[in-house]
Amino acid sequence: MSNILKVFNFTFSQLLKRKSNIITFIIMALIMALGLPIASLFLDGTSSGVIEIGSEALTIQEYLDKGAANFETEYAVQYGYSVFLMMVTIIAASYIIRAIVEEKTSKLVETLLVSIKSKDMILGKIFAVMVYVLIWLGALFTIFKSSQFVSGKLFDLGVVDELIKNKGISLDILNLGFETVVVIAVSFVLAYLFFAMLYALAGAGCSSTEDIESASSAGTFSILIGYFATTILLPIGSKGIVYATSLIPIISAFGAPINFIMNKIGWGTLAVSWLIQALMIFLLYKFSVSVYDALILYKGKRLKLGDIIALSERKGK
Amino acid sequence: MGLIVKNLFKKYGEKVVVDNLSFQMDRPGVYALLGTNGAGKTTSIRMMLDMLSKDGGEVLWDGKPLSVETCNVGYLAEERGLYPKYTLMDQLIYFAALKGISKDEAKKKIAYLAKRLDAEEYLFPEKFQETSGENSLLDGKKSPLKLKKSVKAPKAKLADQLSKGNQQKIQMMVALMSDPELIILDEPLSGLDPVNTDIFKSVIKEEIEKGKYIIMSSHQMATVEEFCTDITILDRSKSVLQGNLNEIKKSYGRVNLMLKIEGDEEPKEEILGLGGQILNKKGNEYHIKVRDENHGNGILKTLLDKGFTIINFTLREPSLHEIFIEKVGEIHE
Repeated sequence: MSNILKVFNFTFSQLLKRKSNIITFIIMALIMALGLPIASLFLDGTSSGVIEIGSEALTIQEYLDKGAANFETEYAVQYGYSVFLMMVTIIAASYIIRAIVEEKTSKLVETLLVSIKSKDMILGKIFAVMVYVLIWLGALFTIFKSSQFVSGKLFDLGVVDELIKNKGISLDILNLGFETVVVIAVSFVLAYLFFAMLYALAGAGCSSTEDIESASSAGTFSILIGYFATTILLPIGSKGIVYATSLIPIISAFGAPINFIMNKIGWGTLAVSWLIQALMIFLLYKFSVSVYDALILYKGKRLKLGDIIALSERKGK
Repeated sequence: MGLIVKNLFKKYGEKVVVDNLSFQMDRPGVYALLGTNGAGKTTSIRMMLDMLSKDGGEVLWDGKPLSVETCNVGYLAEERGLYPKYTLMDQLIYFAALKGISKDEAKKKIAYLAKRLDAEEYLFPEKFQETSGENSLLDGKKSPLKLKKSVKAPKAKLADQLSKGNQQKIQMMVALMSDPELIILDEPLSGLDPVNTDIFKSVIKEEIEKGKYIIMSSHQMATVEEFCTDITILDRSKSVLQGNLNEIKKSYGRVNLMLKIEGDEEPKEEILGLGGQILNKKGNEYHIKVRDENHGNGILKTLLDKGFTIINFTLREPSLHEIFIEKVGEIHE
């Protein structure tokens, strides 16, 4: 069994056993299970029934029946995906950075390095956290859908659908077929790996738990750049903005898949976006490993980026 | 099979921390890497294990560069560390897995080493759990309120619940679990009480008998002397003495005279007059430095002629501690 898989197994099993994770999952599961039925009891799905576009006043149904992806739907989908990606990456980031730093702070690094290479350690941890987070999300989604099914038998859930419709959002226009699922899945994995490598790099530069917060700020800032860029630039809607949000690293993690789903870019642009992201992931991975190796036994104040780059370029490692 | 360390060199900025260290182990046994604080022992070990980049030199095992692929190394680091919040068993099985040992095989090895290192209490707490039966409120009398003590399964121990010495035992288990070819022990006995020191020593002896290549770094000269066949003494990055310990001692000759005199008379003047150097006096026991065996025998003859009653007379080679002090002290003068 490769060492990456061994690190994966151990990290994953410890994530499952951690009490704080179990408690958080139970709380989230309760929210997923009870959120919808509670919402249906208290929310008011009524509205004025009219949307004004310029001098034209349309009923909700007329607006939705226009058949093309409208601004509200685009914004809702982009916003929803960006929030989802931001939440997942920030949650995963805290696990990743702690997993990378814990061997250093526990003074275990030397014991481990006679058995395993540092690159295998980093990759094993990143994949373990990814699978853990995906299983977590999958379980929560299953609980939500089960709740939706059961609640549908007991309560009137139509008020929630009405509420969404009255905001001019029609998820019916989305083609949630196999192609869309593949695009979202691949984009999500690439986005996760990109930010995971950023946090791995941040963790590699830490020598104590006190450094984690300041080290992770760069990664968190990058995530927020992607989130805000896509949600703020979307209303501009120009072709230049579409390609920028599909191709510029960090922003493309948030923008490319949604631009594809909304038929603003084709497979060619999406493939280029994925290639750029994959290249960035590879470069970040190599840099993280060299920084980790260079600083593996370093104990001291947090180094500046220039010092880290200089150290990682040392010959012999 | 053998280990060759050739011209290891390391510097930080302008400061040289390891200056062309070379040695080799052609046969199984214990090689001692000794030195003053900051001499470069741990840095040398880390370079040998490729944890620190080398600025020069190479390390070969069986003719190939030493790495996780070419050699099964067991390493007890100077800095003690375990995952503080994971169970001991989980950690040991993980470290075993990294060495390619299956879970079942790992459990057997853990059980064996736990017994050898007297660590069973921490790894198998259920074996040491006291079970209790019914407990009556009224001594000896039957009570309608018979209270049964619930027998809870003992919780698995976490590493941060153990003392430093016991954590060291667990780390020793990690180092030995994979039956390594090369064992590197960096200060293995530091911080241990006398009982655990003896336990560790017996485990090390067992590994020696199995024909392992062991490199030991330590400040405890008396302990190192029990095991090591060859030594390198480092001082301020340089090797100041190297070779087979017995031959080094022979080269010094039998220059330590241990003398025990009966009675209250002190032979100080006589010893000093004959050119002996009194290194230590404890009651009527004297530790005297002499030039060679003949000198020592000469002092004995003179004291006997002068009527002193000699209870004990021993001429011996210097201890490793004495050699170390003399060598390092010589350089610092």
